[in-house]
Amino acid sequence: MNRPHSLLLAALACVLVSLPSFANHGRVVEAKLPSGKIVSADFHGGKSGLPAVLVLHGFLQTHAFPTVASTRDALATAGYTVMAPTLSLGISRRNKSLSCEAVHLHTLDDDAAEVAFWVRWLVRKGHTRIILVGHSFGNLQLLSYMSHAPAPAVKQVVMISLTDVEVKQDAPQRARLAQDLRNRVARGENSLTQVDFGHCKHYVSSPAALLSYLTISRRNILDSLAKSAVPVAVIMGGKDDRMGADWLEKLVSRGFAVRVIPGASHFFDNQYEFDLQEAVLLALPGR
Amino acid sequence: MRFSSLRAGLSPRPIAHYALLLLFVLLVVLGVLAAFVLHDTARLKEQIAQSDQKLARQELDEVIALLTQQAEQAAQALMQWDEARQQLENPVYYGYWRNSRSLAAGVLPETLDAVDLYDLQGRNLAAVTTGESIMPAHIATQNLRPYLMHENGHDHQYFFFRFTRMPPIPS
Repeated sequence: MNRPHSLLLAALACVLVSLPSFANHGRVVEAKLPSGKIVSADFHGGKSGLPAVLVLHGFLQTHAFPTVASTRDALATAGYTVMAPTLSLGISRRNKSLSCEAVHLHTLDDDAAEVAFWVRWLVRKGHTRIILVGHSFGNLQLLSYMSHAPAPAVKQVVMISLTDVEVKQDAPQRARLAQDLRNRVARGENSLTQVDFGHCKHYVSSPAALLSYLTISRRNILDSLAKSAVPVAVIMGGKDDRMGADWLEKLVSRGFAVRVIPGASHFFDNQYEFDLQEAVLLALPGR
Repeated sequence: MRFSSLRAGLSPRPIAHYALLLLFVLLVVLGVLAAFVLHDTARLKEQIAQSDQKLARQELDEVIALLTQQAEQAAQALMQWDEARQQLENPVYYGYWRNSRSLAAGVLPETLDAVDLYDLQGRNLAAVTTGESIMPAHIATQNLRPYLMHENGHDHQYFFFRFTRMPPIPS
């Protein structure tokens, strides 16, 4: 083979090798919220025939959280347009997980408004079919969005490790805490409060901001799921120790589509990462 | 005869005279030597002192450069810290953050005794008047120069940096 032909073949080989990486190319997009805060999302363009998927991280995390990043990559590789936003939690350009002891002034409504913002962003880009995928507490933020006039483009919700909010404190304890916070808000007391909340032992927040998250209960999660205007699929780990023993039973008994991956933890780490990816892809249309 | 008169002038003297002469000459020689040694020692001492001073100054320059570098790194870490930027945007709970988070979160080096944020007018977001080192309540926003202050029995080096915004991510 003469030299020009060899060079041509080598160049062609380089182009072919680089094609998959172009197809799976992601970029971070930034946008300004009406509040003036700047938020970012990891965005992967996909095939035009497939729906766009918005993947939301868990409590105080970012789009780089391993469970979310792995799901996002699997969806992008399968050809879906994928957007994984990082909720601002009241901080412009937040790019790291937020510590429990940081000052938390964000509310559930703020989170839902940011989900709505990114859904609108996708709609503006021409996506008419959007699927929401949440991990852990992110599911509750998605549920909150879904209960506030979601965009018609949202066609399905997939919930990974749907959080059980009453695993540490039962409903009466949470109700007492909520009442205490309500009283403080009514008295105009705005001093920071430190409570055991979510996965945090010392969660620091203003009474009003914390109160917004205490409106969520097991009961209204189940009711919201039942009232959902779009199909909801739930994927749970069989060894998720962040759930109450009966949480799974409650979900199943209400007739929700729950897929349990035996042996998997709340984060679907180790070999369960691939089981999760498969379960998510199976739950989505277009395959 | 002249020669005989000369000899008569150099007539033998007592040995004691010669001994005294020799002693005198020896003392003069020793004195001159001692003066040389003393002079050389003094010059050597001066050279050593100069060299020590030069080395100390060099060491001090290196320490100051290292300290400045560490301070710059700490400032960079602070500027990239979400929580610090949050405080500049909304300083309502700045006191809690400064007292409970700023030095305890593991973002800034343990060698820091105090950290504070200032607004664009150079006002401390919540000045305190007690503690290990008291950051000034107000700073000049121009010429942010470091300075050394002796307080509580030891020295504190104060550094001030302009808090720069993160560059936008091109979309």
